[in-house]
Amino acid sequence: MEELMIELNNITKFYRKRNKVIKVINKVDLKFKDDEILCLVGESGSGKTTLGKIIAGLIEPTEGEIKYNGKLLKQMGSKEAKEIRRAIQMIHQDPFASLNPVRSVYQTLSTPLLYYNIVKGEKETKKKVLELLEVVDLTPAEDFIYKYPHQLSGGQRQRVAIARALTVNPKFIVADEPVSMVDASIKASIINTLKRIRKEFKVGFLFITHDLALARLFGGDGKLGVMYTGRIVEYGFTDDIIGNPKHPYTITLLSAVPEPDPAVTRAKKRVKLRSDDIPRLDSLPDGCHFHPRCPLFIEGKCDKLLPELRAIHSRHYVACFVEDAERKILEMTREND
Amino acid sequence: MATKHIIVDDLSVEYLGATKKIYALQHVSLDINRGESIALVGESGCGKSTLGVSFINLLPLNSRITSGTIKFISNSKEIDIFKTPTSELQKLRWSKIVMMAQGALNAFNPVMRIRDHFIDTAYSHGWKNKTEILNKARYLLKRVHLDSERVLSSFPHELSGGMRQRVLLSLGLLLNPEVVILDEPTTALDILTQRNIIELLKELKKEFNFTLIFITHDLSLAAELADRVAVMYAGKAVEVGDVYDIFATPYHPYTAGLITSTPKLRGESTEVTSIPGSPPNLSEIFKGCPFYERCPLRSNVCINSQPKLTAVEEKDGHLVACHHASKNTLEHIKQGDWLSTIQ
Repeated sequence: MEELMIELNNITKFYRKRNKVIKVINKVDLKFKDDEILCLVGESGSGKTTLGKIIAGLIEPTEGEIKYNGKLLKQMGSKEAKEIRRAIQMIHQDPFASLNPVRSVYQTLSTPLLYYNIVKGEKETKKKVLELLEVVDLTPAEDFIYKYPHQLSGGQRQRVAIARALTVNPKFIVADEPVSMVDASIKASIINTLKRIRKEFKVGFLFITHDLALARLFGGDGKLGVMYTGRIVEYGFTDDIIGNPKHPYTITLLSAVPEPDPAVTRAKKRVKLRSDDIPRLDSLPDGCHFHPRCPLFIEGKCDKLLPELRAIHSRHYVACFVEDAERKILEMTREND
Repeated sequence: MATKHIIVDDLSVEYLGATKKIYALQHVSLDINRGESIALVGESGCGKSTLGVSFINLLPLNSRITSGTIKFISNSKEIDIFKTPTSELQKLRWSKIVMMAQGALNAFNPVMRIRDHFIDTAYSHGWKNKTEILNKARYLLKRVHLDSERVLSSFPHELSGGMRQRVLLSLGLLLNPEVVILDEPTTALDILTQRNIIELLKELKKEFNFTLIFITHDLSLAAELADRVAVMYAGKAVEVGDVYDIFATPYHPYTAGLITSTPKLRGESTEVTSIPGSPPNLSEIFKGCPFYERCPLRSNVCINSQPKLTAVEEKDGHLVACHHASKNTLEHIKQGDWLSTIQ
């Protein structure tokens, strides 16, 4: 496979619980190539993990289709489908849960290698496993190869999980909050490892996080999607969005992030929302899902119509009726002072 | 001149495991001033939570205090926490010193309404009048922006994480404590919920004027809330000082490393330098500096001699434990590529 194009059309995911329908993903359209970096940010319950799993082919959408190089998975022959599954790998959030506790690092990493016939024979397998451990900075690799997960720290486990994703030479990796469970000093070094892997192996990433600063650090040169209640409400280049946010929700998130400098963080203007409560996914409000909380809510419009994601200029999309939201919100916070 | 509220002097705590001992705190000394807000910052296993529970002597059974004291000063009387009998301590806890452990928002009794949590707490500290208790509870719940009537008659599972955290805060303030200790108050909360809790803590602190000690691994939270910061590493306090000083001119290479490894939302740099290696094994007593293995400024003197927490020359009240500490530490760390200098 030369390159991989992933296309999501009108993806929707519902779960049913008793008589209620829980709308986890709501009509998401996305299109990206395997050399892109895409970050998804949003609060818990915004659907970012579910969307990641749909892209990795682990969950089937209720409605809509996901096409790989223009084809649906079920239209493909088994060989072609297997190839797609190989090309897209996932790193899960919790390295304490994602590694099999009774398998050594060697077993964990050699299984996919042998399954996909990437290596033959014990000698070659071991060589490849050692190589992978070096790639993820678990050195000296000989010290780690026969260890079990319980003998490793959280950060080391996450590195094993990264190495496992790399075993089958993927084109695209879905990384679901890969550093949210590791310590501060380790976090930065894992991000640096991932950045190096990006360049060395030319893999694309879908990077899921709730931390906007982390999205900027990892995907500052890529694209960013901001999710709210299962919809993408703002989409564009990461730098554009962080420097010049258009959606009131994005503006609120950016204003709420504490920063590691007392002088900066204490001088920040905070946006006050009309309500602190996130709507329940089984009873989403009419119109824009953000309208009960939005400081720029327009009566009769925002509570009636659902804004579509529209381009405000080339490659910056926002789902909001209000123009010039940042200036308006800034004026409001000034009046409150 | 600030008056002292809690004095930790030379505190060492160890945990007894099946086969080995863990030296969780090693000769920690720290003064906490009345009315201030101090952050205990560090990574997992640095001893910050152990120090947190030591303040109210609630260390687990497999632990042993091997040296040191904690003195709590209330009504100009000095109370030695480790020498106070349990019956006295029980009165002290929650009425004078409140500790909210990490994840305490999940520790409400699931079969009791919030109302009864308030009543139980007040009864066990000698309050008799139910109406009085509930009036106070209503006031506090309103203070944390909750619908007091609805919340009082709710069961814990009917409230969201952010709401439970706020209920916990108002429950903590029920007996007008002098000291509030929070262990990771905003971890596991969403960005906007975290922001609400931060703003709320600022307001409550202003109104009730308690001494706030909070434990966190998140430097940004310390930057936001603290007057002073104590950075802990491997069971020791390695740097203590005013929050602005610590962030602008950290003296300890570990503090500087934490700062440079935290991603920022604004500013030029989209690169971070990370600290190589991982925290040391605490089942050994260090001969030298515990940060030696990971330190870019290390030299031979660090192998055999343990640096003491001492005042820096330029600034009052800024303490650091490092043989090579200087006001240029941050510059050194920023310039040097740690990964290439240390293999």
